[in-house]
Amino acid sequence: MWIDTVQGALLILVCVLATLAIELPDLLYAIIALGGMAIAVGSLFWLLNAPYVALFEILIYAGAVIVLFITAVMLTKRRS
Amino acid sequence: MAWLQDLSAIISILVYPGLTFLVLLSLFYEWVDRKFVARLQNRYGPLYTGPSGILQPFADIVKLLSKEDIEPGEVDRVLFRTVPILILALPLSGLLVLPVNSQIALMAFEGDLVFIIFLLTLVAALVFLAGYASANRFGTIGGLRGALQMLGYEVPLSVSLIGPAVMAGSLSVSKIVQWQTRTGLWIILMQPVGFAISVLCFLAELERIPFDIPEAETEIVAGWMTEYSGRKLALLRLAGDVEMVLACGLLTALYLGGPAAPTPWLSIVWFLVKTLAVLLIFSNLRSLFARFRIDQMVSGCWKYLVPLALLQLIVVELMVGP
Repeated sequence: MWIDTVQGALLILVCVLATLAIELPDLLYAIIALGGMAIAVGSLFWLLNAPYVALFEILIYAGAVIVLFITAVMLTKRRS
Repeated sequence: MAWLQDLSAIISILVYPGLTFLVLLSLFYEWVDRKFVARLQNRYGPLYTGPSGILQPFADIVKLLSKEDIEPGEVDRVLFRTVPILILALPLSGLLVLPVNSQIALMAFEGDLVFIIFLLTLVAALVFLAGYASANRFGTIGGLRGALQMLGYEVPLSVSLIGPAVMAGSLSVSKIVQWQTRTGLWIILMQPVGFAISVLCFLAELERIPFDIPEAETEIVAGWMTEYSGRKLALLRLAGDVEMVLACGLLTALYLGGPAAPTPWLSIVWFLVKTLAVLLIFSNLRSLFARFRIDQMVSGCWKYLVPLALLQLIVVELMVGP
């Protein structure tokens, strides 16, 4: 039963973080929200007994892609 | 007697071979590193705190913990306060999946090698966030250099760390160690290039001298750490030491056979000897080289390290066979 609760919480978290990633005005916080969403999706895969999908979701999306985005953002100017 | 098992599990995570032991070990390794580099440069190194200055890193941490913690007015408070905590917590949780005193780690699960690689990436991303949050010119430049440097070394590091996993047929660090024990072969014998690439990339990950570009003291004060002081700086220093133990332990487990000893109680001695050997390689390189420029570092990584790592992986695939 607790797995259902955790899954529900993670699904809500994914929705909230995805919305934040689009709506946040500060680019850096949007990227952090996107990374958090990738980690939440990865944990969902883990709960659904797909450990390899979970690990590579976390490695590629929460790791490599976020790093690329961060290096792109560092070329922009921060809104004050 | 269930509670006794619970108690021993808690003790093994918190005390030995878990967090307390590893943190003390990291402080000891910082002393070894400083002393060794000092001797190579005809200096004495730490001398007064404890016998031969062995307590110096501990004294440094205690001193920093007791000092005033200054937060500039312009910083991004949430990020500025979260980064030191996370940057210490991530390598510590990575250490729990390394085999230390037996062939199986405390928290071993299938795929924990990928988990460690992800943690290392996240630490490098936190370096950028620290520089960005501190709203300081030196800090921002240091953070930018950290992010650029990560773009350079991350790909060859991941590719070369996958080599042992392909050879052992498992993505779990503990299982790679068991494979090496079973066959009696250390993976470094078959993948010396992979080991060299990993050592170079870990030098960049740990921001040690040939690649200490993000915190180059002579150019940008302390880089991304410029605005940190007091307790936060203590956490950052400790995090650097813990990361060094993580790097040494990971290289030991993947390439040098891990803590596999003839009798079980010798495992910890084997672990200490092998990690010390890796640490001395790091220290030696640190005193041999001068700092590279950031463009030299990134282009060198992509021109030489990535093709070499891919070549190594192809050779491994051919060796393993279909």
